[in-house]
Amino acid sequence: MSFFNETLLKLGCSAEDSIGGDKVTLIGGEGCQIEGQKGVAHISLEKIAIKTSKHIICIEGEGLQIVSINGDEALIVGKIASITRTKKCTNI
Amino acid sequence: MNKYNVKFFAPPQYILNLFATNKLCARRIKCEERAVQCELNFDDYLCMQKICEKAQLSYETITIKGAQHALKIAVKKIGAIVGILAVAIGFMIYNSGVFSVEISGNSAISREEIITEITKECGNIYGAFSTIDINSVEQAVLNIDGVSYVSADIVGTRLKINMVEEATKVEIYDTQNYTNIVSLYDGIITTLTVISGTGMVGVGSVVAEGDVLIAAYTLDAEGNEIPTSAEGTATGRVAFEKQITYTDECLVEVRTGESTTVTSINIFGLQSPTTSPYLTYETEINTTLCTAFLSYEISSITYYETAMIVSENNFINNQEVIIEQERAAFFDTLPDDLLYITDWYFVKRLDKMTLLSIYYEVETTMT
Repeated sequence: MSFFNETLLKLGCSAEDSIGGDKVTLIGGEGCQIEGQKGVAHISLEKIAIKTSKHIICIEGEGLQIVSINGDEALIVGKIASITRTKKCTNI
Repeated sequence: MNKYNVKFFAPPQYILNLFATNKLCARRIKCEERAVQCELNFDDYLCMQKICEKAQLSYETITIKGAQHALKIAVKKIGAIVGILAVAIGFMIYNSGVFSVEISGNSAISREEIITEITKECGNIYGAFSTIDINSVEQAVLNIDGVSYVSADIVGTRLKINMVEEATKVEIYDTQNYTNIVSLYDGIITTLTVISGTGMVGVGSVVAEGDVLIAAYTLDAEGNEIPTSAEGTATGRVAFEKQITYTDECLVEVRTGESTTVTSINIFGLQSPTTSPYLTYETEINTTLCTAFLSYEISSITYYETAMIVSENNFINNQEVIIEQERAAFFDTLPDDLLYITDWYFVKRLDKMTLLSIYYEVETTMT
């Protein structure tokens, strides 16, 4: 079991957060890594919205760029001001 | 692993979603307003190619990096060099051999006989790396009875032999059995010179073809015939006649105006086959022999369609011209040693045709 999944179990989170859930790793305010991404909902220098299975993760800041993307992860660089996670039904 | 730096011309959101949904890994992404530049590995690049073709997206491969690519280029270069060398060696092999033999100037001696003789003397002619010796070839051809001159040369892959045959053997006169001198034509004798034998005709005598002019004997004092050779000359007035008929209508083969040109290549002694698209046709062939690098022949064959048509004979309209032409042509066929006296002609109208009779009266040697 991975460290992440162990932590989830200790926190009492549901299994779906571990399997098929999302995970956002903030890297010193200069970038972030989003795991479990399912696509890009919006992209601009000020705002990037990433879809996950059930949520939309909205990153706001300055000079935001997706520098790497694959089937599961997306790496965003730029000066990050805020990260919000909302249910998919919410308009952004 | 190769890395492909590719630029996709579409909105960034659309392209990034394509990467995400197809589970492709894109790195070093640079988003522009309506384009995305990124780095893909080989498998993802191939996948994106297919997707772009399907979605009709335009893209541009900017650079390809990686050891695999470098190796591929190197292999390609080496392959190209090896290929060029192989082709060059192939050409050298081809051009160093003899694949066809062209013989000119032979009429009495057959081509097969000449080639057999050369093969006997020099071994096998044909093949790559042929080391055939030109002098031996010439000597072999000269050894054949009836050859007076020969020159041989190798042009490209062709052995060209130009030869001259000996003149036809002159008739040997029989000096043992005496024969009479007879008249060659019907005519009137104008001069008769007897060197040996007995003259059987005199000046003004009318003779027919085959009549004895000088008999091969002499008479002794008692009137006995003593055989001897007949020698002497006789000239006479001879009328040569030629008759030509012109039908009022005749079948003439004319070109319809339709033509087709095909090109045929003769290489390694093999000629690409060509066929005429017309049932009746005339053929015109222009052949170019190329020996600069690769020896081959290019023949441009033009087929002209022809048709048989009934044509009215224009003898009456062009009577004077035709007669003049026929007279000149007939005069050329007469013996060389003649003295022209006169000539005349008749034009006679027959059923559906015209008969032209031309006569030349000349003085010529009768023997």
